[in-house]
Amino acid sequence: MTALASLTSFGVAALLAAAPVKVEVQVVQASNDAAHVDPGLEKMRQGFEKAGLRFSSYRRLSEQTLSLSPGKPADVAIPGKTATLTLQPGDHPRPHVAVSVPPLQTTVELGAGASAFLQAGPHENGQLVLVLTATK
Amino acid sequence: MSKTDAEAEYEPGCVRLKVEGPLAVMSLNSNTLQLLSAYIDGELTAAEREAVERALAEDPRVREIQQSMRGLGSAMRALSEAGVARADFTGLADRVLGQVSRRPAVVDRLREAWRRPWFPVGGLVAVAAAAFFVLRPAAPVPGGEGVVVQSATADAPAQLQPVVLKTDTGDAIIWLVEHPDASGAHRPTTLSPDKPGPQAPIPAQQRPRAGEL
Amino acid sequence: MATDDHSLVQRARSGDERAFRLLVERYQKKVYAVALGMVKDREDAMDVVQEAFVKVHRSLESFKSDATFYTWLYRITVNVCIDVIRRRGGSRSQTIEFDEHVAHDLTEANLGGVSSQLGNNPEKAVLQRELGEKIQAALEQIPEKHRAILLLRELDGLSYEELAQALEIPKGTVMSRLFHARAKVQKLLSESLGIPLPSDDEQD
Repeated sequence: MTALASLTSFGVAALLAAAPVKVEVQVVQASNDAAHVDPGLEKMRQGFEKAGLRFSSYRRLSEQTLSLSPGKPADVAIPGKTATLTLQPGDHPRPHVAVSVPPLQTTVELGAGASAFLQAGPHENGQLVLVLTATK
Repeated sequence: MSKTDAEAEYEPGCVRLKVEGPLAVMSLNSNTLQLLSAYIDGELTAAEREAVERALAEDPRVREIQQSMRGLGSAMRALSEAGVARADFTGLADRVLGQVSRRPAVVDRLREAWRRPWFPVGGLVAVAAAAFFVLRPAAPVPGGEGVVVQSATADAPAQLQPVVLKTDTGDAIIWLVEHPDASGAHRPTTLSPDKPGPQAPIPAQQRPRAGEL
Repeated sequence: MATDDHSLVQRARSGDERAFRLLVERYQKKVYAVALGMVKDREDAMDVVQEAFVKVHRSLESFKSDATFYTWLYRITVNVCIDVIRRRGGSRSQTIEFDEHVAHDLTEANLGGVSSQLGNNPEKAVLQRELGEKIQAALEQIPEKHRAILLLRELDGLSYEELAQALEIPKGTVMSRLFHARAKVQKLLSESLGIPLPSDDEQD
């Protein structure tokens, strides 16, 4: 065996060939129109309120589950623009997802069941929010 | 401090490296070196520690690497002590308390912004915070779950900055807020996400320094 | 009067200014040391210290007493440092990003050869100005997250558990990240000190 010349031991090849990660993606419109919260968005409303972001209406515009592979971008349609999600390669205990939803560029590390809420711009008297949740 | 193998086995989120091969001869690979690094920090299980100590006893290469790792730590501490010795902390607590009494927290300013009459009619986004910072719950979310924002930036318009807010359930909210102008005023702006803003980025000398938030 | 961290936090929370001053005085040097290692510039480091304690004061209500104060303080400090680095615009262009799981050329000579400069007499070695500058330069070249974990471990002796809390990462990540931070700094040091790589004859 060669003296230490690289870190190709310890299953690096297996680490690099990471399995796809499933991420639930929702596009939600938050506004102060008539008070209404779509089913499943009450937790979002509560979290926003505690953070100081008060909206009375949360409407889900779309919902899908993406299977993200390392380094391969996946697009999500948002009214007026496109968001791009890319699972970052590397051995991370939790998935790192780079998200481009102009003008915001961010990389988030998703714990199972937790959600990242990304502002995605104005829409019809409200704000669009891209919601990412790593599925358990 | 050593840990039993059982404790190490069941710690959530803890990846334990397996001690491979015959303990008499420990191959010099990343596994070994990671164990050596953790050995220096006193963070190995009894079995791992025994394996490393055998390797240290039998392989001069391992001893040399250990010496180098320890030496780096010693050098960093000595360098740091020299740097701290040159610093002057006189009045620091006064400055901190003075700053705390002058300005409200960023969250309070965010909340204030949401109450302004021109939000959110007609797509206007008017906010009051100034820089990327994170509000985090003091304790880590149980089980190591939750969202961690690794990075967040805003493309043009340059006066927008991301603000990260964490909920007590471990979720993260990333919101774009308007960076204050040089006078400290916060002006409402129409956010047109597909068009770059007209203003140039704030020159470095006008950016708020640490402590001016 | 109790002066442990939690007692001081409780008192500071209810407006006791003297209690908060005691916390500042207790940790200002430690926080400064980490900040100096992260941002290098002394003035920026002092700004970081001030900003970190301001944030602490403003967030006292959210501090949970089952966590340790100093891991919370260090978390805030590291975040402020990263903010300063990115505001300077220095991080992406100057640090060398590397994938921890791509093969690195971590030969024995790269790691072991530095010991002749560091291992035998580190206190004397660091007094050598050139070596001190090279260490600082090497630290500047590694990503902030590696710099932070190395500084917190080496300067403050935080345990892996405390590092996981302070940096909000799993404990398993602490071990690998710290190892890679050390390895990368040592590799950069060996390169800057001109320590040659082993010849093929030395390979098995």
